[in-house]
Amino acid sequence: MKDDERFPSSPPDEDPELRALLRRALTTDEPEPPRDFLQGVQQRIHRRSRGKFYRDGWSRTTAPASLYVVTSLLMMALLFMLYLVLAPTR
Amino acid sequence: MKVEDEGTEARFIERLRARDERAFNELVRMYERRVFVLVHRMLGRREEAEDLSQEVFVQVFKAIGQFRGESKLSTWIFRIAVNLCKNRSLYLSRRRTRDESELENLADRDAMEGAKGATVAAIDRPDELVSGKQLEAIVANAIAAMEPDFREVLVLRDIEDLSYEEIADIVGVKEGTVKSRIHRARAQLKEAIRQALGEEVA
Repeated sequence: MKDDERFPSSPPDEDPELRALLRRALTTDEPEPPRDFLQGVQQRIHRRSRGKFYRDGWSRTTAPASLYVVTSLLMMALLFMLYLVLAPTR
Repeated sequence: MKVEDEGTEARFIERLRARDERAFNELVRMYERRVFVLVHRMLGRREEAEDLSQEVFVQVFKAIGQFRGESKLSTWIFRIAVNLCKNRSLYLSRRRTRDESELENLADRDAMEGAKGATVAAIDRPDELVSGKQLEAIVANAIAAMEPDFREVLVLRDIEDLSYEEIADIVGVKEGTVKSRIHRARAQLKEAIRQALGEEVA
């Protein structure tokens, strides 16, 4: 039967029991997306764009950029301290 | 990241339009669960849901330049998901029909052999017929057997709790049609439960 608009002004029957049953049937044992979901999407885009997108580790990482900035600054500070300690004195 | 207000969402969409890969990572993280669960409810199979929900985000990445901001970003993503589900459901049902007809041909050729393995009992324990789990299974089967047009509106309304307006926007029909489809989907569901219980009790 073709769609019609037999209920244009009033909402269809809200049946709380049926709704609850529906929810139980479809939400129990609800699966979680796979852990590598994002990587899967990135690989597909990389492949379909013939390598234009997601071509390096920076674009694929999920860690915030600030983590890399902080790590770099700490390494530089450490190297500077080592230089101060080990540098030959006159 | 949470897209809380229109200004934030507009800036985020600009980054997506500029094909900012890190912004897209955030988008996938934000919506992967909702999209995956929706697709799983629509298709009922985990492997298909994994494949199709990843495909949804590939399509979002490809088409983000066409997003005009007339609806919410989530509504637009859901629309893509629902359309892909519809196509996949059609493909799967055609494939199932083809497989079944091949099976029927096989059965015709060897009818007696086929009859030996035939079974009509779907429920092993009649005493637990109306226990919650079995009733839920009946409902899940009825939903799976429903036409995609009806299944999608029922899931979007009764499980995803979306408004009629949002559903109309996602499915691409008028609100009146959404209400009509929901009404008929619920009637189908009730009838399927009634039949399943009636048959099993008898």
